[in-house]
Amino acid sequence: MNRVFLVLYGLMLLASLIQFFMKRKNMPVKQRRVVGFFYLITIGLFAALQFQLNVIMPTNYLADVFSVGLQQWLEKIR
Amino acid sequence: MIHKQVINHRQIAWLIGSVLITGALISQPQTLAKIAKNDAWFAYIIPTFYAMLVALVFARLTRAYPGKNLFEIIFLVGGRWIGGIVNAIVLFYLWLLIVADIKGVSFYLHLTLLPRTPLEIILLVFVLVLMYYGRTSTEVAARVNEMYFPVFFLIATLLYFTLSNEYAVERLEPVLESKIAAVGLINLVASGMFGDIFLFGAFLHAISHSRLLYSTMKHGAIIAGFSLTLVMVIQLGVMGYLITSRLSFPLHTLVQQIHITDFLDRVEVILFSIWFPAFTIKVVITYIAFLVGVGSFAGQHHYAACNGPCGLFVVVSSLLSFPKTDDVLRFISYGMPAISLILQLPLLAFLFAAARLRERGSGHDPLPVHTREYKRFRTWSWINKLALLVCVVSIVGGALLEERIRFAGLVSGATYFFCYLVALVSSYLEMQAINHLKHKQTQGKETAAAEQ
Repeated sequence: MNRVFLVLYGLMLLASLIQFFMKRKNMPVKQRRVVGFFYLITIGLFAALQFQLNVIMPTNYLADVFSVGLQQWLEKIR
Repeated sequence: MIHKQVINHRQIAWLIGSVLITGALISQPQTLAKIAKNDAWFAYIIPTFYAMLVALVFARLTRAYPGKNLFEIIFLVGGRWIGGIVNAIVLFYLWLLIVADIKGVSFYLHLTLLPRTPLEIILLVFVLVLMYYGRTSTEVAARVNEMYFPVFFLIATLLYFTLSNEYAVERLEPVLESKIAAVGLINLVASGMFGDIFLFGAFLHAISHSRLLYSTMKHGAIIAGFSLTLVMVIQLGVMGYLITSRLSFPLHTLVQQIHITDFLDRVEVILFSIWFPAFTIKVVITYIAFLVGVGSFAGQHHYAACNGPCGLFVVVSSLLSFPKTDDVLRFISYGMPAISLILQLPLLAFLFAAARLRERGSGHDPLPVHTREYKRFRTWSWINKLALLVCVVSIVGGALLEERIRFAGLVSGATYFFCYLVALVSSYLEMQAINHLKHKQTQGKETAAAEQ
């Protein structure tokens, strides 16, 4: 993982989180929950990115199993 | 209700054209050439009908639920829990579109233009552009698209002339030699790609006239279908189906073949500098649609508050998805079309039924049938329907007669191309006629209100 990216992205995430914590009291409850949910997933995925855990993404199944199966099926029937 | 955004019919048509064309040009020619060989250019007629079906459902929704976008309508129809689940599925679909496009373009830039720049940095910079546009609205993206799309369309049309020294009609022959099943299959695959038009459901609140919306979306889909047909004809005529089916980025290699005299070289750099902004606008529109969807869960009037967290989420989820180039290209070519059809068809049927039930008993403004503009609108509408029907008949007829009559394939191919061009022109004139009719209706109502 590129260090420049890690530093830049880390700083952006930190700045965004600080902004959220400062403004969350003025936010409606629904908005707070939705934004908080996205931050939680982002932090979780950022941690997974350090260990290259691509398998946790649904795109892994869609690319490696679903698309391959479809490609083979199309080549069989054409 | 989201705050009012105003985009006119031409901007919508060009946005649709941009979304459908720029996305399909990345790697779809490879898939279509693999399946239908030199008949791959017949792939875009059923997708046009599919886009028209989506346009019809959206027009009905605009009439039944004026001022509401797709997410709000789904919440109204499905309630809090079922509506929430359906909206979450739609959001997942939009996220897949964004991630596939971002990762695809990052790989493309990394492989062709910026081999020394880390993929993560390319992706981060691209998402920063999306987040910048996410702070604005659809109007800004529509206006930027108005600058790039006409130039992009013109350049795509001029490709035939710039590549005329490399082009050979013999590479397209024999026309319609492939089995009709292969042609049907490529139409099915391309229909999935045209399913990207579904994201415009997030902007239904910006359009007030349902009939104009239908004509506009139809015109946008026909622009896309015609342009892609033309590009496929050129691709197959210059490179043949064998080479096209083996290239990861066929269009990039195609434009590298442009050599105009000895000193006009590297023209692909100019083409790329027009294609890239048009493609970026496509991803921007998808991202704004995603923000609108997230905003509908947050119950807020403006979606910009979710821009920061959503942008950061998109960066990290894109990096984790599709680790190799082949993964994303295979997904775009095979997986995404299937997912589009599986998700969209039942949802479209459900929404159409909901719109019909809502409209029952409620009146709507009929069009003024005795005006010159209405007669003009009906004429162009019928010419358009006839032209599209002849396109379908020419493919079927050509495929059936090709073995018995020597020139049947060539004649049906020429008929198909000509009728598609007629459909493009007639859809534009139909859209303009209904626009004039709408203005006349609005002026009539204002005059009547002033007199009272």
